[in-house]
Amino acid sequence: MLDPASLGDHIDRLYRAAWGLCGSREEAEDLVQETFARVLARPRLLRSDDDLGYLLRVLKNTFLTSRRTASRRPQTVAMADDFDPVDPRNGLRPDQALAANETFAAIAALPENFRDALVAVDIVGLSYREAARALRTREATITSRLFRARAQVAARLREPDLQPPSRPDENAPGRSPQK
Amino acid sequence: MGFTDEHGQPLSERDLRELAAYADGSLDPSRRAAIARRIEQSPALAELIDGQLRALEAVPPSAVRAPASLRVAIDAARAPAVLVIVLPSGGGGTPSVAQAAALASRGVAQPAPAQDAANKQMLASAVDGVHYPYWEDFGWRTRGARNDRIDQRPAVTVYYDDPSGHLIAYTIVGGGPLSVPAGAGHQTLAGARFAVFTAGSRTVVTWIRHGHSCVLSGAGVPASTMLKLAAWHGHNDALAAWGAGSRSSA
Repeated sequence: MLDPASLGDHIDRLYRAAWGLCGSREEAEDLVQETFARVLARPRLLRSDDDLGYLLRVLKNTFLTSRRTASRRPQTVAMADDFDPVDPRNGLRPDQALAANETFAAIAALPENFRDALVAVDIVGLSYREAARALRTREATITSRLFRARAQVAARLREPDLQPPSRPDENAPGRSPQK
Repeated sequence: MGFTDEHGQPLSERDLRELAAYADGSLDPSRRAAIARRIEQSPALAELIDGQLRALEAVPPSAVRAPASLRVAIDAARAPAVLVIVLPSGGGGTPSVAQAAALASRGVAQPAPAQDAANKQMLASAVDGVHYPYWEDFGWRTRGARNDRIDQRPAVTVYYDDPSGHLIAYTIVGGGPLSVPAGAGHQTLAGARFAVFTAGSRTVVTWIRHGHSCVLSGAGVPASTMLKLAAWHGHNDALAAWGAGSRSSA
C-alpha cells in the first residue's frame, strides 16, 4: 500500500516535475497539492519501488484535468510575481533562480510527449524503464523522445524566441502515444 | 527536427536513443566505446551530444525545493483529520480557533468594508486596531462581513471571493490568543508561526497579529494559497511570534 508517511520524501521532485509541466511556480504548488490530495483520497496497492512513477502519473493526469477545467471557467487573477513571502527563491541564488525559471519555461513549452519524457527522466530521475511504465509507452519511445526534448531545450535556451518545430509524427491531433 | 550525421544522412531512431543514453551515462558499457569513437570522428554528432549535455546541465538541480507553504499544506493533508468539537461559548475556558472558524459558515451579514483611505493595503474595518488586508490586487475581492461574539469577545469576519467563486473568511477575535486544536500542523513562514488544520470541508489557517488570533478558513482553496495570503507582509509586518501567548496543545 502506498505509505502516506513516505510521500513527503517525494515533494521536492514532484514540485520540480510540476513546474516543468506547467512552467509556473504558483501553478506547480497548486498542482502538487491537488496531486497529493488525490493520492491520499484513494490509497492504492503498489509495488514497493513504483510509488514515484505512480505519483508522476497522477501528477500528469491532474495537470491535464486542471488545464481542461481552466479552459472552461473564468480566468483567475494570478498573484503577483513578487507575492511570495515564503522562500521566494526556493533556496537558490538569484542567478540560479533565473536560470531555473528559464529552463522550466523551455521544458513547459515542449510538445507534450517530449516534455513528459524529459520530466520523467531528467527531472524526476526515473530510469528509462520506469519512465516508460509511468507514461505507459515503450522504453525505446521514451529514449528517442528524450533525445528530441533535450535538443529542443538546448536550442530554446540558446535562442529563447525559437518556435518549437512541428513534428507530424508526435502529438498530432488524434494520435495517441505509442504503446 | 531532423537529425543528420556529418554526411547529411538522417540518424536512425536507434542512433538517437544511443546518443541520449551516452549523454546521461546510461548507455550499455558494451556500446559506449563505439559511440564515443563515432562522436570523436563526427562534428555533427559532437554538436548533438553537446546539445544533450547542455540540456542536462540546465535541468534545475535538486536545490530547487518545494516552498515551505506547500510542505505544510501537504503535511496537513497527510495528517489524520483533526477532530474539532465546537463547544458553545460561555464555558469559562479559552475560546478556540475552531469556534472562530465555525463563524465563517454563518455567511455574509453586512456589506463589504471599504479600503482604508490612509493605508491602501488594508481595509477600514479592524478589531482592536488590527485591520483586515486588502487583497483585491491578488484577485480576492472583499465580499461582505459579519459581527459575532465568542465568550463576550468581539469576533469580526470579513469574506473574500475570487473570480472562480471560492470564498474565504478572515476572522479576528478580540482579546488574547485562542486555543489551537491538537494535531494541527505548524509552520513558521516570513517570521510568523502558522497553524493549519482541517475542520470538515474547510481548511483553517491561524496565526497571531498584535496579540490577536486571526483565523482564515475556506473550502476548495489550497492551503498553500491561504498560507501565502496569511503571510503577506503587507499586513503582517508587526506579527507577534507565536509561542508565549499560544495555547496550542500541538
